[in-house]
Amino acid sequence: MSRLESKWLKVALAAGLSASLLVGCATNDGKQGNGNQNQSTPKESASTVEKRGKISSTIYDRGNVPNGMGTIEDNMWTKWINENGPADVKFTAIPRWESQSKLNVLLASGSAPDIIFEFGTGIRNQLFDQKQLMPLDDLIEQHSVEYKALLEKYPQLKQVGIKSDGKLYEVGRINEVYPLVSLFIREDWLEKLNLEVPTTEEELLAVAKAFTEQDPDGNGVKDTYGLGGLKFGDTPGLFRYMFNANWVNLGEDGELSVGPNNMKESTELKRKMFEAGVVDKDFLTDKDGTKSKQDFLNGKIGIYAIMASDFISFSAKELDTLMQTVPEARLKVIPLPKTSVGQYNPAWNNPVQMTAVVNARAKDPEAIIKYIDFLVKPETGRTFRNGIEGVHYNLDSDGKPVIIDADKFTNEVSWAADFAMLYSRLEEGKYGYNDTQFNEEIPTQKEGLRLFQDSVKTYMNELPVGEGLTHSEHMPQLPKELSLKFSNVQTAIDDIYTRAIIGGSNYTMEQAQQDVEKEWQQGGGPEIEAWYQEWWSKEKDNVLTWEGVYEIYKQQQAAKAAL
Amino acid sequence: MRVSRGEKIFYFINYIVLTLIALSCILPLLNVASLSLSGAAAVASGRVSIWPVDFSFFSYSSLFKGTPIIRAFFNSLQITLIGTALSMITTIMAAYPLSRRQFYARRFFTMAMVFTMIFNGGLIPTYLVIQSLGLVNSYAALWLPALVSTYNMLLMRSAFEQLPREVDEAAKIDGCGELGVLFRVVLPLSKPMLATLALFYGVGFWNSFMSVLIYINDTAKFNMTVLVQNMIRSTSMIQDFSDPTMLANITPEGIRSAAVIVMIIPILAVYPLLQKYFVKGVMLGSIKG
Amino acid sequence: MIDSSVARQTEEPVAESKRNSPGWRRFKTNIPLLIMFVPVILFYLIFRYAPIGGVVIAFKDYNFFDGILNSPWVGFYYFEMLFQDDRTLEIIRNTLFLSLLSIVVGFPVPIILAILLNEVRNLGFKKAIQTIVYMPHFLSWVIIGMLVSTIFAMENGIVNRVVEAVTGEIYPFMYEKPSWVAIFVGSGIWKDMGFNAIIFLAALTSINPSLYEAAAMDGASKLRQIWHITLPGIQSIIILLLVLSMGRVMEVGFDQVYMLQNSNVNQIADVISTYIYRIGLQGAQFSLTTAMGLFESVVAFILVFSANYIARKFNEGLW
Repeated sequence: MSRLESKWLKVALAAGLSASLLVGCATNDGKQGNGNQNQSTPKESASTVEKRGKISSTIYDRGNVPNGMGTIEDNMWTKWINENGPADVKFTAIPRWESQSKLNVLLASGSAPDIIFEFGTGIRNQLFDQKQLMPLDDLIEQHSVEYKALLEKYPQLKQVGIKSDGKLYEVGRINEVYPLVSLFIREDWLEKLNLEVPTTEEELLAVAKAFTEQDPDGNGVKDTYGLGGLKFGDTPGLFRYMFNANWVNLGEDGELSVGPNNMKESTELKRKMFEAGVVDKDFLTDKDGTKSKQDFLNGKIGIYAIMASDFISFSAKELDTLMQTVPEARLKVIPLPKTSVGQYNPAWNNPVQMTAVVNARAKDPEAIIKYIDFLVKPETGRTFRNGIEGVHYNLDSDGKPVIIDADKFTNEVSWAADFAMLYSRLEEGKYGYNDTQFNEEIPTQKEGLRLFQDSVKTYMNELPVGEGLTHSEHMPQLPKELSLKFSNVQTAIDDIYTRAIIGGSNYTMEQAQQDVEKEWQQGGGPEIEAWYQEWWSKEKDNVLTWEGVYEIYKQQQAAKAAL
Repeated sequence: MRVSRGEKIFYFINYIVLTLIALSCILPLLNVASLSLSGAAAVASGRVSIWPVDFSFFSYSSLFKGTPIIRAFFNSLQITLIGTALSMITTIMAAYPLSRRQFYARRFFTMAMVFTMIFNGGLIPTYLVIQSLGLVNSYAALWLPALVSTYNMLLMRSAFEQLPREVDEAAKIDGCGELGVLFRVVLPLSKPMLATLALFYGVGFWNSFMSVLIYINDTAKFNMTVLVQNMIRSTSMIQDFSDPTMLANITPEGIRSAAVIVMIIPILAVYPLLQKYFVKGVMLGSIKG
Repeated sequence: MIDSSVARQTEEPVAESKRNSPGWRRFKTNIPLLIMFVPVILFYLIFRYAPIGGVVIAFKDYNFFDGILNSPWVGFYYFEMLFQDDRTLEIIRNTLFLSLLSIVVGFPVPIILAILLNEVRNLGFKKAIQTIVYMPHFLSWVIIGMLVSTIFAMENGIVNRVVEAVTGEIYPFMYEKPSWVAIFVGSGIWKDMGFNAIIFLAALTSINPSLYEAAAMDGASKLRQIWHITLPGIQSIIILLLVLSMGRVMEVGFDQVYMLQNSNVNQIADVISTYIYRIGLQGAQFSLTTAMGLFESVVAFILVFSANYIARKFNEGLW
């Protein structure tokens, strides 16, 4: 029986171990939750006279908090907030790319934090639909100072944050307006082949062909492409912007046009490009556009669009790789060519970005408003961007923050950006503007700055933006049944057009266009259009269109000049 | 031993086929490993295939310095080892009775369990149940709902049922009760299947993603899968205009590859250890005795 | 069957004969089993059956504020919304097609692989191959999707280079429906065959080696031995897994389809999981997705039940 006994012993041991671990874990998390609050109590009695609120907040987790710096919900910055802010804040981490699921279960179980930071407009809208949000109008009116002032300075913040019942639910920040996507061309190739910058769609095709056939990189092998990626990555956006081929467009008459606007024309150009052989034939399977990006960085593509945005990470990543791999490459930002339906600009950065909402179940709304005010203050935001003065950066004679130690900065500050989601950087003054962020002593950043300025010069003008009515974040949300239909119809039509690109003689543009018309009619197109038209007639004045964005841009540039 | 010509041909073809299959399986892994050991520019410009270019450990050093991967690794270890042990015990507690012919209502219980394989309430109802038990944010939320995988249980039951009755009866004659039969006969003779199921549970726990994401709130308790997925998704997901900071946070492919390798290595290391349980003719001695 | 007179003759009181009856003995042996089984029952009730109650979400207009219990009842509204859309039917058809094809073609492969591995006599080689072959299971579809696209690429793909050398033309493997389906099914098989073979390897060890020796002495060739000894030896497991795979027929994994699909093949490649993903992007359509999930479960249940019924004819039913 000894073997049996020892077996029993093992089982009992295992069971006992597991049980103790289970108990251990269950009691542990009770303690974990109190961690943050314990840290802030020593300061409490010393600081404020008024009652300190206790609130909870979300913070994005991107898995990038370095070893030894704690966790995203408990680190030097959360401590800093609890020491210097108006309330004790307990943070709950939300994985950046699974925020929807996590927020859903937290809200459904009534355990979501008081203030929720979320970039995704769709997700925030949906929370509103689920009646999970607290209206903020009165609260801001009564308790806010800084954010209230910001609202007065930028009424668009209010305009965008109001939901269908007319109340304000969202708070956000003002970003600098600059182009989001830039179209690059290899200037060195243009010179080598003696070509001019293309200004029309026909010229674009001709130059792309020349790039493909005339061996511009001079290596004797026909391995270059004129254009990079027709379906994935950032270049497809290029065609959309070029032709203003969007589902909801604003006509010159101030009326909406809903449907596959201008998509026939943009597909025709794509088809010509494909048939001329200027693109990789396998663009359809190049998910995320990885292959075409690699080709570009290897110096094999002549015309390419990138969402370079502020050009800062672009300098550090793509530009850096390109300059290493292909030292002779020189990029030029070119305006989008004229097309048969007009000339447009690529999309610009969204200036009015809503980033936070308040949980309807929050117990201490006043403390939340005060916390929002705290986050809005330039001194606070600057801390999350640059670090602590004297420790991470120093101000030079001009007031520009200069980083003391790059490694220390990377290790301690680089991952804190999400705490600044309510920070309107331009309020900082001259050094909130993007062009002051470049360090010209580093070659890639110097080149990046040059290209950034090029991009701004090329795209920030009166030409209409080729992204339809407005930035996608300001578009309304369709009711469930229509949204389902719209999603299906968009996919179906998108597929038809894609097949038309590569269809050759088996599938002509005419056939494709017929199929598209049919699909739109049968898939609920007219219903969808009717909904948008009704919405537009009611909400016209509350929507921030691209024209409105341009106004903000001018306002920001004027303010900069005055500094 | 005489080996016929037919047999020799068979063995030869067998070796070739297996080698080809194995080659096809190892090449992608070589690619990922090479990406993790190559220089940044080489990785970004797609010049790496099955051998490192510009050999460098920078991906691994960035990974270990810039992310809490070591802590996540130990979390994964804890979740896996304890989870597997608990699940194996409970599954045995389920499979053994169901494998005994005299057990009451066998059919009914089996049917009821298979039913749960097919129907489930979804994320939110399950979360609400877990929450009502107060298990949120503890690893018990990962272990308890996973105690029995009906699929695995059915496999175990099948293995138990396959054992010949004579061995049972022999043990009973020796004076063993049901428990005795379990420990002295059934379990020792089912080692291959037990090893297999331990592997299945182990892999399941090691790779658990959604459950950790949803039930665990403290990022310090996250396992490797969540951490790595967070990194990987920052490039594969649709580009998010609304998030300028995201562009700065895109993980270079080299680091992603290093993370994948770090995740896979323990799994690869475990399997050979389990293979020793796959010994033929385990039963051979027992019947004759 | 014990006649009371006989009982008296053997000097056992009448009462004891009851205790020795088959019914009582059965009860006695069941006690430890039942005790062992009770926690299992609890587990299933709490963690499996209780959440099933949540399927009512499919019949309600669920929102967080009202919770599951108080959300308004809408009956079959969402089911109607799903099934009135032509696309839905197409998607269900695609899902069934791809899934059944994968099962029919893919089911034997791990079995064959396990048998081949089992026949390897060099232990080192065997272990090495086993370990290598189960690796792809752990690579994500992101990686494998890119790999597949590269191999079958039109421009520089390995396969097309061979095809071009032989026939002079390239073939758009990824863009034509038949070849896409073949690649889809094939890549799925390749990825999991090593891992799925493990069960069969385990089962193969329980076959008595003396059977093989006897057959060899009788002059049976390798293949005949496999056919008459190996396969019947793992028959139970095979049928078990086959019945269970019927339960998974509505699950075509999201990642695999998403990474491999493209506009040209969407008519055959759009499946339930990618469809749900698209709708999910518009916002939490809980009731809609739960309704779809419920439908999937019902179909799977019918299939499993039918498969089991057939299996019972061979005495291999699950229950």
